[in-house]
Amino acid sequence: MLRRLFSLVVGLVTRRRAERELDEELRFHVAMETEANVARGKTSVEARRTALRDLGGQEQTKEAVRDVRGLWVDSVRLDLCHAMRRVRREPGFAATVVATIGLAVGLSTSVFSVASGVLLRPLSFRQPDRLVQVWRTLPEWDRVAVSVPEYIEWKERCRSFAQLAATRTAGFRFVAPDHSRWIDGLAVTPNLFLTLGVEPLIGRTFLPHEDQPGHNRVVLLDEGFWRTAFGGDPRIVGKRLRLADGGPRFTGPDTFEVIGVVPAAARIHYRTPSRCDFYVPLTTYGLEMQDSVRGAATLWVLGRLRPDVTIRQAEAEVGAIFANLSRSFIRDAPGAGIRVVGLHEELLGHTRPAFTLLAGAVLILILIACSNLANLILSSGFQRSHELSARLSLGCSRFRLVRQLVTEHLLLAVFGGILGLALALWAVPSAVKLAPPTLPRLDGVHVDLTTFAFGAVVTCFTGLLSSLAPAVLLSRGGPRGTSIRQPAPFTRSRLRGSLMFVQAALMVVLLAGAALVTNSLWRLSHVDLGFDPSNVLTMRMVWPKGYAASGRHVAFQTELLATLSTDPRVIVAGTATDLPFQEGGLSTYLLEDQTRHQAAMSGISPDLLRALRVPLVAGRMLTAADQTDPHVCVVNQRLAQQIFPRGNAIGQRIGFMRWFEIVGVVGDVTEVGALRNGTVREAGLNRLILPRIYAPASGVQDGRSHLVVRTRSNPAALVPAVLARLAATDPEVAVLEPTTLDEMVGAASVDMRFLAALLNLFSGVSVVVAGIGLFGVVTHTVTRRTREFGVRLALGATRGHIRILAVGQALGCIGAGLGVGVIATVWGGRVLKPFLFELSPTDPVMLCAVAVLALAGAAAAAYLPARRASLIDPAQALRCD
Amino acid sequence: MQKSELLQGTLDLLVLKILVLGPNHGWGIANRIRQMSHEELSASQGSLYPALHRLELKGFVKSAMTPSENNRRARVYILTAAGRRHLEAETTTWQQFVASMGRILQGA
Repeated sequence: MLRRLFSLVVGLVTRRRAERELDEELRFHVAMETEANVARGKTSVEARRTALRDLGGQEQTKEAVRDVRGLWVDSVRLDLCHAMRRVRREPGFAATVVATIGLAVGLSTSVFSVASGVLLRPLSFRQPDRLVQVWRTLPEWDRVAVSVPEYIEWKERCRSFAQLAATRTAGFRFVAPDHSRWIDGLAVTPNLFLTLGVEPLIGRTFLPHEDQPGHNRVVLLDEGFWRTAFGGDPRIVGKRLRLADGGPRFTGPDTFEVIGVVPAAARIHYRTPSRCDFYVPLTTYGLEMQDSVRGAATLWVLGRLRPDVTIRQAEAEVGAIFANLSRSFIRDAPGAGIRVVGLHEELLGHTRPAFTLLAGAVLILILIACSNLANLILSSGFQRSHELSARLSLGCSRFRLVRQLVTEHLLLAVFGGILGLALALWAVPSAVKLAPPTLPRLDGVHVDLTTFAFGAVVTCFTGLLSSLAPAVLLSRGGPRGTSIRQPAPFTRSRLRGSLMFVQAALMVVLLAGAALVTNSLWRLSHVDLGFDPSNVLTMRMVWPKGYAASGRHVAFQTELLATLSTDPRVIVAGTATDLPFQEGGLSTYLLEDQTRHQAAMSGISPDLLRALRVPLVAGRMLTAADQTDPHVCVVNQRLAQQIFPRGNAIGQRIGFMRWFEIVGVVGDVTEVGALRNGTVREAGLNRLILPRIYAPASGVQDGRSHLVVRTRSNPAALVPAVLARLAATDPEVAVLEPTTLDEMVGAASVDMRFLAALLNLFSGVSVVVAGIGLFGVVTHTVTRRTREFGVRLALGATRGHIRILAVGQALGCIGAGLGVGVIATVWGGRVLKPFLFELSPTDPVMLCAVAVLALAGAAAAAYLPARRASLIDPAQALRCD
Repeated sequence: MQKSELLQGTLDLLVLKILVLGPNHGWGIANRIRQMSHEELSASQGSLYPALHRLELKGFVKSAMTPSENNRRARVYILTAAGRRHLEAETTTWQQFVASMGRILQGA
């Protein structure tokens, strides 16, 4: 075997010499034989002829020797030469094939490249499959953060985990010598990096005792922050940073020693698009241990399972401890439970539905392209049937013919593949640039060797799939004497029909998917928000240390709002601890009958609801006087209807830190932030409204606030003026993320918009490809049946009749395909569910619209050639053959 | 003159046997087969040359282009040691085969 392979290689290298020598050898044989014949007394001419005759065909002998020598590679080379000649002779055909395969390979490779970089690649931790995240769950929420006492109980009692770590979000004003700015990061238990198996780039990670008070003023920097803020200075370790204003729960001095830098790949929170600049010990935030804080959800808990423990076992163990020790929490929140989920799934699982959908779309596109190409090959093969039957009757084997047809096509496929990879090289970086920020790990998306391998596989797959069936069919035609004058055998048009049928079905599926997602997107952007986001500027403000405790934040806000209202460009301005449309956490409140309920809570300035244009439904709004004596609140309609269904909300009292009397009911506001979450989207608008309480800001202590400014014109233009006023009022207040409400609302559907754009692109391409295919097929039918149509016209058929004849079979196949496609969409539509908003995947109006659209498109593609058929001049048609 | 077709697989054996006598070229081998069988056997060009190349690939013969009579170049085949061993083994097998066949045919 090895020797054979060796001789094959040598044969390739020394091919030319071997050929020459073989030729020489045989010529020598003939010469010797001729001499021998002369010696037997024949004339020299006769001698040579006898010699040649006795010896049989020289070429056959050569071919046999070549077979022995492994020189069959030569015949492939011949096929390739032949294919190249065809490319030159039929550049239109070649270009169509190359472009179609290029498109299929390019799109599929690009999607694969992004999917492999984002979703398929394992997490860059040690043994990432052992890492899990532990959540509490409530009946309608599958991710509820964990309280401090629970984390400590689990850590002490659970046998399932080799390590159990906890994190919470943290933010500081980073005070450099020349400026200060806000940075976001995580407060973590010291064992976090041990749990993840992450080694620091420089320095060290936390030591076990560094969560003890007195030892916890240490900070680890994220690689990205280290590079941008410190220029990647390796001497950063041991330096001291001032990290101020950690919020009301933050206690102790604000100087931290840098102990190391951890790689950016250690990021564990992908769901929050914000960056992570640093890690500090969790205990820098006072850890409340008392039982009453079990309702407070602050910690994200993640662990490393012991080698022999499954996720389900861990979940059962934590669940048992939770049921045992968190009774008070479960009493307040019936149906609470525990969910353990693999970290890869937790961090990246939310991207899977989108990639599944895209992969499906790409597969459909590839299949459409393949069936289209198969049709093209059939048509062009039909034009070559002269050549093919000639070759068959001259003794070419069927296998050889199939091989040649497939080789020809594969050559074109390789060109297409190269084009496709070039397309991917261009498309992948632009997709990364355009991708929504909600898509994690985009920095790991590259066109690499895996991508190329995938592209090669797709190229071969499409090449073979599209050429094999037509090649086998075409190779069958010859010996029975098919010629260009006779209609094609029945099988050919049956294959052609089924190809069109498949194409139409697939096209409908793709079109329907794109239409449904696009329609959802439209619905999403036309949701009644309950507030008016146009011309509103908003930004986050973080109070300096001790601000909220001393009540200075109320004075600051009053002063700021007063100065802002003097600006002629400002209509009205307000502040809120939580923006009512930004899905915040739920808090527990008491009614007078001592029952506990959950609602979202906002501490607001008197004018906030006016600034957002949230309508008053009953009672009155909050006033400036309420700020000085914070004992009243307003609630939204959802809360009023849920808790006081008899419409007697006004005058009732609500307990939350202190007692508030309800003085007004305002309209509901859609939680735009929740739209990002697929589960919420599925449930529809109903889940997008939370029961909400608006209390005077002075009655709610919080470390931050949002400024909301309604302007007369472009709000973004007002940013510098507002920032200047803020700084003039108190420069110590940190300001974050100035943006417009329009942008925030748009951000909620940004990933859906991206997906809809891609799906529309794919279905657009599929329609074009399928349309070209249909056009080609009808054109071909018309050409083939020109004579028949001529006869029919001569015998009195009307031109309309001819048109129907020309497109009848094609449109019939397509109509059937459309029907099956609609059924397939109904059947497989659940894949779409996570992306649909208030729309069923089987929405009959949408499906009908798509089917009608597709049929209209098909009719349009078939019209031109059909028209040509009906304009045939009978006399000429009859003469033409 | 009736010429017998060569039995499948016997051509290799004949070629090797002839090459025991000394290096030879394709025509020479064909001629020898004809002569030695008293014109009863003949190897056609279409089977002789593939067989020669096959034997070379198996390592039983080697070949070289050498100048020959009348200023022509000919490919001359030479038996290798492996070829000699193969010939001996195959000859034994062949003789056993012929003997067995003979016994059966005589007995019948």
